[in-house]
Amino acid sequence: MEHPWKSRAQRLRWGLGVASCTAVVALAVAWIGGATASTPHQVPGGEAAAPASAEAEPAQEPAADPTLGPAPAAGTGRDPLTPSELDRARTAALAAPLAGATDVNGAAGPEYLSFELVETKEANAPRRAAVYFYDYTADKLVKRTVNLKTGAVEGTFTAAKRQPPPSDREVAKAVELFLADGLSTDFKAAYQKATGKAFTSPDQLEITGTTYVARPADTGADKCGEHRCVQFITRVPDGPFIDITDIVVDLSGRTVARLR
Amino acid sequence: MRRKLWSAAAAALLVSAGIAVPGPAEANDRWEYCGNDALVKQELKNGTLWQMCWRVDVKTGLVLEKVAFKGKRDKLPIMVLDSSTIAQLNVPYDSGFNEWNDITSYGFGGDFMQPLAASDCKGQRRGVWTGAGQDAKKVLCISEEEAGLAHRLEGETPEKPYAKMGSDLVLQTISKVGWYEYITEYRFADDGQISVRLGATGDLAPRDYTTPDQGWPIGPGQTDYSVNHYHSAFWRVDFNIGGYGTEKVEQYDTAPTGERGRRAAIYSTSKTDVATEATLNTATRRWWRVVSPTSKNADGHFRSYELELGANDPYEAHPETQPDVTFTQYKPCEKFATFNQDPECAGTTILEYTNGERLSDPVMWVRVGFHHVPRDEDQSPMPVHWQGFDLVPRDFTAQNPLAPADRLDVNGDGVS
Repeated sequence: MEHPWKSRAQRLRWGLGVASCTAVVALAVAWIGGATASTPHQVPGGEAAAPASAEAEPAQEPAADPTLGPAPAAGTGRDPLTPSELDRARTAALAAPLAGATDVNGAAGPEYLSFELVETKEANAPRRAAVYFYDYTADKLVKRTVNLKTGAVEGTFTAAKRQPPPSDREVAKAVELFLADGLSTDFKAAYQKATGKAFTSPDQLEITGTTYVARPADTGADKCGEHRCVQFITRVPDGPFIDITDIVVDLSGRTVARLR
Repeated sequence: MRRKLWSAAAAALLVSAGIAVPGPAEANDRWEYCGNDALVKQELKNGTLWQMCWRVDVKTGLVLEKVAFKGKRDKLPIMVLDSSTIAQLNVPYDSGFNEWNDITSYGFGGDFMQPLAASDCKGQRRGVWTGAGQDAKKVLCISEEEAGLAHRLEGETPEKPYAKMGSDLVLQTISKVGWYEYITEYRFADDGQISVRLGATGDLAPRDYTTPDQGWPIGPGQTDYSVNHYHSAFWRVDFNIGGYGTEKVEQYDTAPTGERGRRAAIYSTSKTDVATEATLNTATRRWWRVVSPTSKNADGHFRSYELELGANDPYEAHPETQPDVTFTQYKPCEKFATFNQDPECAGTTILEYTNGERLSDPVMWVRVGFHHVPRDEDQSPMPVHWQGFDLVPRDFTAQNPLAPADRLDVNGDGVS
């Protein structure tokens, strides 16, 4: 979990997993630790009182920006999921066993991907969260819906050939597999050419990961779609992009391929 | 205060609809749609008020829900949309070299959504919680923008025409996916129109240079042909007119009859009910509207919104990107126009969603493609290019909601 590049998360755009994943890990502490200061919520629509926030704002800042206080434990109606709700939903979704599921590293339990507020048109429906996982054993996407009022897992849905954006852990794993593969030789040479420095660590790059699904006519990584695969957009921080969009890492099959 | 307004809104719907049977939104008038941080409620200078709930979804980015309009003469807001999101953004290169799905392979939310600087936003910036919920990243810009002349009519003297300058409530977020920076924009006009747009800026794809038939030379001389490409976007729009939902879909076509009148050709306009799920395409003078079977304006006409499509380049290489507009029966798990990622639904594209169901609660999928042939001016940064569509109120109010008081007696054929 704690990858050495993690401390550079602000520089590295690992994809969607970073914010949500970090939130889950850290929030319980934050809440117990006393988010008790009652920063008043600001009135929207330009009626806001002057923010009483400690946030240092540049001089040209419009005074009307409302300050978002500490997240409440639970939201109302169509509010976004709060970090606390997400934590509870994720814990509940993981607590229900998923037989034989493994994560991107082959360890027991599915790989956490993302969450969402469940859409509803019922006026009095309790708020529900959907938590998404990937099961590398079955190569299936798993959605679990959690009733935030009761904490109960109300539904589990699985399907093959559904490939949502990769989590930060998945991108990190894909980078590791790529760099260990002979197909990374060209990339390392291109990095050296672009920067004049040897490539020795993923720290030297901003990497965005994206899922790759092979279209019927694509060649080189035909299993992708059925398998979970990742492509990269790589950039030298504040420098040029180094194009390796022809590289596909098959996380299910643990192989690296070049699209033809 | 605001919560009272919301509950009162439901009561107003009963009054304005002139019926006693509660609709879905009225069934419980104490339902709070969202808390203060998620509520956007703004009265524009001409007296129109828009209000809605916003949030950020990790994949679709800016999500708007429970969008309601209140004209200056309406007592309370009237619901228009239940929700609206972008539902796919497919970016294929003409060279065939790459094809990206920016919503389902990356996403517009999470770390892809950019913090807004003061220079990005002339209005108010709103935040989302990050990390443990103690820190906020300002991602939503809310501003009122001048929209130019809203209407003009000769008055009693040349110096005093009936003229009004309009304004829009504008909501924007910015998502950076690779080298592109996408602006998700909703523009709520004081006359009730909703303009939904995607802007693309940032930079052209680096290193994606190709041959003259697939690109345009943007460097010195005739060497660096930047690749032509598409931004083929889908939106998912779910109406909730008057808070009742259960709208009907109508297609209108106007064609010459072949006959002539006294001075000109005679054209005839006909309506086709879209009663079951359908994928549809544009034609000359063809348009669609989503009409409430319940909610009426003061003239006794059913309230509706009309889809207006402008410039639109269909990406015909995939069957699922060919329909201009698709209407499907509402299913919460049908979230994306292509590559649907909710295992609760069997279908993964609009073509699979469209399987003959009767439309009792229609969802509208609008595809707007923009084929970008780069030009010298695109470097750098690239000027924003826009694609999108308009939702125009049709009979939502009995008269122009911005009309001055002394034009209110003009309603229909005879002037009363």
